[in-house]
Amino acid sequence: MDRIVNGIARGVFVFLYIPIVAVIVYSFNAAGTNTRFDGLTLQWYVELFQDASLMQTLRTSALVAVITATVATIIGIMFALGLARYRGRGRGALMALIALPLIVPEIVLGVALLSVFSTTKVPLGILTLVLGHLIVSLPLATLVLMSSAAMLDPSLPEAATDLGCTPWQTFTRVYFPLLRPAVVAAWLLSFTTSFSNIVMSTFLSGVGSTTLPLKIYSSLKTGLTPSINALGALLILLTLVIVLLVGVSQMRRILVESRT
Amino acid sequence: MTTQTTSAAADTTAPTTAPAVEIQGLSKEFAGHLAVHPLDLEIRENEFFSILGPSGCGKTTLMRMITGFETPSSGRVRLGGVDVTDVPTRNRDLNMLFQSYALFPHLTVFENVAFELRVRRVAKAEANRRTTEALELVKLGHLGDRKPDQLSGGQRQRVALARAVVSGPKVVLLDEPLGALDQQLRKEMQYELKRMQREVGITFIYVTHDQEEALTMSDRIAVMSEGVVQQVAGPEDIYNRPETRFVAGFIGSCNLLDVQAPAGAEGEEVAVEVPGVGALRGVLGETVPTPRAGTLLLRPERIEVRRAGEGDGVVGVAETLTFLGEEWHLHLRVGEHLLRASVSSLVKERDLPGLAAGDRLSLSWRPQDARIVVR
Repeated sequence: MDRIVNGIARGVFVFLYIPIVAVIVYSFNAAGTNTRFDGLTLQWYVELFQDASLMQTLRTSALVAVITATVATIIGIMFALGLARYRGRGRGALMALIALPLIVPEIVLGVALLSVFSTTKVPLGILTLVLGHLIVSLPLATLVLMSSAAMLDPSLPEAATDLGCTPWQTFTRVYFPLLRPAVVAAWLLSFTTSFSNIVMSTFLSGVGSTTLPLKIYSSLKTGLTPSINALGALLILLTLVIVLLVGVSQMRRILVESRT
Repeated sequence: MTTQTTSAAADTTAPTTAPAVEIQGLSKEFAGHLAVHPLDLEIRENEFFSILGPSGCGKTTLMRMITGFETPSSGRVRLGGVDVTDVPTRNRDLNMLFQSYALFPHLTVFENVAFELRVRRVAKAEANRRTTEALELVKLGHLGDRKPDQLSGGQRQRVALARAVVSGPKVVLLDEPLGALDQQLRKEMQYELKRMQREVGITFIYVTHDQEEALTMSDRIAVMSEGVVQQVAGPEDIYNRPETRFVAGFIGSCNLLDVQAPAGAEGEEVAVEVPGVGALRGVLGETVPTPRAGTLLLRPERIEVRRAGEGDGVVGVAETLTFLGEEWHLHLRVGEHLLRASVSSLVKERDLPGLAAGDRLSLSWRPQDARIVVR
């Protein structure tokens, strides 16, 4: 029995990681097609950085994702701190409203937003992308922050007030340091949600504000160039660096705390 | 020598008659329910003042109105003569010791204690000196670098206390601070708290439901029930001269007999008729203008128990005898009433050898030990 489970576990891991390994390997493939392997080259990385339109979409995606993540995290902190203390009527309804966009199919939200923007004559572009991505990443950020805020002793802010803190000082000296891991997690989660989004972007991007996933998706029709593999490999590397940075800082904190 | 030091210190840190906190007509209403009825209270400088009552009696709400966490529905709060009713908590010269201690988990012990001084921008050298002093006071000078989660319950309690007194506030409010500690530690901390309060000379307002804590530590106690202050007095007066039926029943153990109180002045000796028992002697605990329903209060240890026939008094039959080490608790059937009496082990061995359930006993007491109140 154990051997069967063991075998399945290995199979799952192979299935999960083979595409990632394949992307990295083929990004160095001299053949120019994913069906043969003709030796190593850095040609696709050079082509990638020379592809101005692809780099433009990368910049758009990064900009939208940074704005979305930052705004979602700030609003999420407010929601989380408010709801952690608020025990009155309508709390359940408010929580449900926050989580609702997670349940409603994204394509419905996309269509709905598009009609809102066209009737209000808001031009499609960075702004509409950010607003659309906010709808899908805000619930995630809020939920991550809320689970952290709910664990805080409700006496802590009162103690801070009692010891002379203004509301802003209570935030900077007590809430923020205690919520920092959740803030980082919420920001990264919102960032990836926005960065990899296709459905909302399909409806909300305008001329000149095509996002990277849209560009890659549309290049399916013309045939994927190996530069996409190079881009994929670079994104994997970036993700890995972020995970390691966050992971290492977390590890260091755990080590420091256990030292004494 | 020792006595001299104590009295010298007492000159500056003993309770005075100057009011530290004055409360006038203060009340709090929650959704149509009066949690605290309008009340007046005066807490003196350097006093160890307890607010004692069962949970839900309004003591926590009263305390939170003094700190400013709750806005009163009516009334004023004065701190050192200054009206602070509309002053936000952070600008009130008082600190609170929370039931959960509320230590900041991301800061070290030293940073926790120094927190207020840093927020209030006290110069660094001065802040460090005072923080060190406060940590010395609670005997934790060596643990300044620890995080709160590396401390025991008793140590956290001390850190919280050091943090509350470090800025030298006029008043420190303590919300059931010993609730989370085990029995042994509670006893130690009761003594320690009292010692530190004397040492720093700060008014302590101690909120608790534990009557023993209140009796052993307080200079004065306010007993609260259902949002009303029942009595404010020193521990001995609260125990020996309770003014209401609630106070008598809540503090220690007390026999409560329904009687018809005759009219008379406070302290007047009267006899009251108790159905099925007969006429009992007692004194009026307060001035009664016209006869009305009241309660006769009689502490179990104030009842003298002898063999029936050895003296005059009410005759009762022993129903149960319980041995508690230093004393015996007796349940005595008197007519339709069951009275509790306690007899010290010495007295029982000497005067009541071979006492057993079913024995007929004579019960007597001094009139002044049976108080009749109408509230």
